[in-house]
Amino acid sequence: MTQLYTIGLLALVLSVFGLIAYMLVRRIVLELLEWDRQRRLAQWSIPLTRWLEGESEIPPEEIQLLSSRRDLKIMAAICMGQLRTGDERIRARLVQWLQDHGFVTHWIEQVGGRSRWERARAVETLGVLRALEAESTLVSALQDPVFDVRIRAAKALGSLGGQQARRALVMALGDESRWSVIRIADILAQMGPHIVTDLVEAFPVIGSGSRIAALDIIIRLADNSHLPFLRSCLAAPDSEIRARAVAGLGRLGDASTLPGLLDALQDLAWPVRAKAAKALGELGLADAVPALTASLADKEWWVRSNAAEALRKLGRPGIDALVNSLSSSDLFCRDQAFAVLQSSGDLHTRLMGLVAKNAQERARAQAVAQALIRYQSRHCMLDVCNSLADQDVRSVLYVMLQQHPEVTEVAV
Amino acid sequence: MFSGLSDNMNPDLVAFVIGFDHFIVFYFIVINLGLLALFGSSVRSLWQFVQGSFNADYAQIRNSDLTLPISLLVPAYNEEATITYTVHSLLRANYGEFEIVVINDGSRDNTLSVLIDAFKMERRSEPVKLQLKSKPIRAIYRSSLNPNLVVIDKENGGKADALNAGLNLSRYPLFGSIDADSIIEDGALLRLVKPFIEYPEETIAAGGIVRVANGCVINDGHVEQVRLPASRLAVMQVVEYLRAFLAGRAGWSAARSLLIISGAFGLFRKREVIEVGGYSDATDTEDAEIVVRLHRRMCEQGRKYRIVFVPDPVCWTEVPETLRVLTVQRSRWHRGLLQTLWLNRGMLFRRRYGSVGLIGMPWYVMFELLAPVIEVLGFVAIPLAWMLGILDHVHMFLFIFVAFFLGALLSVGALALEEMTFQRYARWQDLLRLMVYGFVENIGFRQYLTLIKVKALVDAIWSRREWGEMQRRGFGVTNSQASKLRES
Repeated sequence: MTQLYTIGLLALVLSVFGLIAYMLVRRIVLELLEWDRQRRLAQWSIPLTRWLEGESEIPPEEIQLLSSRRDLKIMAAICMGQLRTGDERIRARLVQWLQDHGFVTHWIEQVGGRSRWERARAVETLGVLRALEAESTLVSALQDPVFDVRIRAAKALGSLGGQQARRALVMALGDESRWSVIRIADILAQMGPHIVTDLVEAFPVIGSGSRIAALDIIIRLADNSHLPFLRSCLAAPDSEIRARAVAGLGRLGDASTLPGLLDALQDLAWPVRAKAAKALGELGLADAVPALTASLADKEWWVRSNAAEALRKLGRPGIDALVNSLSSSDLFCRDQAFAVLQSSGDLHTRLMGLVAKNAQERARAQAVAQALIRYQSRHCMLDVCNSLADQDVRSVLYVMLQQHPEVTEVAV
Repeated sequence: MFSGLSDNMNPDLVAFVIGFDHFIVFYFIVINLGLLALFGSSVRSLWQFVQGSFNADYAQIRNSDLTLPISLLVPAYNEEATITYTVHSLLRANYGEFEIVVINDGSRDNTLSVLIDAFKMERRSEPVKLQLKSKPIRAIYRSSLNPNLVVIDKENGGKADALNAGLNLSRYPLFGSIDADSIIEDGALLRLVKPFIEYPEETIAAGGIVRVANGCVINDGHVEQVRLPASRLAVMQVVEYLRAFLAGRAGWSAARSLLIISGAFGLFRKREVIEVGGYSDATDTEDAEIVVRLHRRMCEQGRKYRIVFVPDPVCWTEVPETLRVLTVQRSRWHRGLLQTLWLNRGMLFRRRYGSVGLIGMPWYVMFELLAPVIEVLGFVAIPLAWMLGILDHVHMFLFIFVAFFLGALLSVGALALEEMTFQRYARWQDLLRLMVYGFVENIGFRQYLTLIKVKALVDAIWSRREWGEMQRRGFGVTNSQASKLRES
């Protein structure tokens, strides 16, 4: 037993101090590396900058004597910093020198190297250099097993532009990593509207994951000439594609999209319905009022919320529909209508009719008040009363409320 | 191991002491094996998390139309020293659509007037849907500077009551409960909402990590430099928090048995919380109780659900720097644990409640709730056995050393996890102090906490409840300013 305890204790002590040693050594190594990097950066950046800016004709000695990996890494960092300044004169000088001295070839070779960090750095450097001779190497780097290398290669190809780079990036939208796809999509979107044609052409042949990303980019950059393509996407079996197509159609704001959007409001997938409701609000056509009113009772919060907002955006007919929904038998429907009318101030406007001279207007306001009294809690109603600026309207509403002692404290 | 007995000793007493010591050793082995397994599970889940979120694009989440909006509920009771910092930090939450609902729970200090002045709050009469019962609301204020900031002024009813009032006024389908003495780090909401986006149908609650703000340099509701506090008691709590979150909750979350989401920083789906009747004031720890009730409800309805811990959204909070306040706080926590477990005792060892009923709850009962009692009995029994000559001094000291180093291993292990993942304490002196305190907290501090917990259990049995008041220094306030504040 003693031996067991002693062995256990020794193992514990070793584990504890092993962990401590690990933490200390890790910190020390990281800090030393950082300190040395900073020191060299400071030492080299001034002469290098002078040469790049043309103050000196001969490159500094340090740049000609690069040998170790670390030196190369630090020098690359300085070069990258200089290249990112965007000064074309500096870029031309540096790129020329790097090509003359075989660095570009060296980095192209490194893209096929064993170290993932070296590959990532080489790819990034080639991108910053915009080295056209590296285009096919960068395209092959899009298949690299390491995520970081693939992303940097995509960025590099984005900076190169060109037909081959564009096609490769479109196909890379099928990358297994979701985050990688998002970044590639951003890179493609930054390449300008002409990328839409490439994407539409490639759409039938790329995988389902790529299609969603491609559609995102198309929506961002599309114009009315792409309406037929977006309409065709409404029939896609994938609900994410349908949802995006709906959002795209709403964004384009063309009246001819109304039937498609109304159909989408009945879709089985809630994101499609939610997007359709929002799109109909953006479209601004009163024909959508009945369908949006029905969507106020949707079982999904987002659909209800978007439908209520959309109705408000449709103006008078939409607001009328919301007011009518205050007495709906559906709790969700009433709640959404109440929330939107309250926040937009339309509820107060309608209640002001309680003291109107016009009998019809007064009757409408009374109907609103009755609906509120019937379905909202006493507490809530008292708050509505108190928030009314007009004393007369408030008094009328108070009296109506007094006539209904059955109004519960807690809304059910 | 147990030897050297005197002939003239009562054999029954000797048999009892030996039996009890064997029980202590067995209990000690089981609890520590469990803790080591939990630590291993935490390491695995943290490593997976870091790998999976290294390239996470949170801007995508922020900009997406389908990211759910959030209501942040901040119950405040006598929080005049910290409330503006908290609200400032929340206003900078770097999130798409959100609202902040501060609930002034009948504060006796100037919490309300501080808020009115700082954020130009205007009295409004807004409708409140009373889905959950709460004490009467006196007034509602909305900020003219930030329309998404609302303050509810209500009669005092406790934290659970305040949260229910906030839930009634809140508009959005997700809500976060945030302590009024806490600071939410920039981007923390985006990180915390990620599970709700990844598994929208299943995720019903997510909790972030709570870190100690004492000692940090805080400016305008933003933690600018992470530093260790000067107070020894607070540093020990830093180690304790790291151990509890990184080496504990990460593991429980992986085992789908997370029973606690800290009240300081959690995100919930409103529909499910309203379904279970909102927060309850039946316990002293409403945050743990609501999570257990959610587990219970979901399991009873046979619904697929997730309640998860996310290790990188950070909430900074002040911890007690005096023993008195710490005692009251920990007593409350342990009393709350007892009440929560008692209220949900029907879940214990029931297959219907899955891993929560079979692993989580039994562990919390045997090794969280009752551990202090057994530890205290161990403090007595082991030396007693030695004094009676039943246990020789070699074994006794070996046992003590093993216990000490096991505690240190878990603390230092948590520090190593912190170093490998988030590395918040960048200064050398902080790292070294943390290492030292990884050992020091095992001598005295943990035993003191054990005693507090035993007392809390006794209090709970005698139905003595005391919430206690945390002495707030206020974020971004120096020591001298703090003493002036106290004098005034």
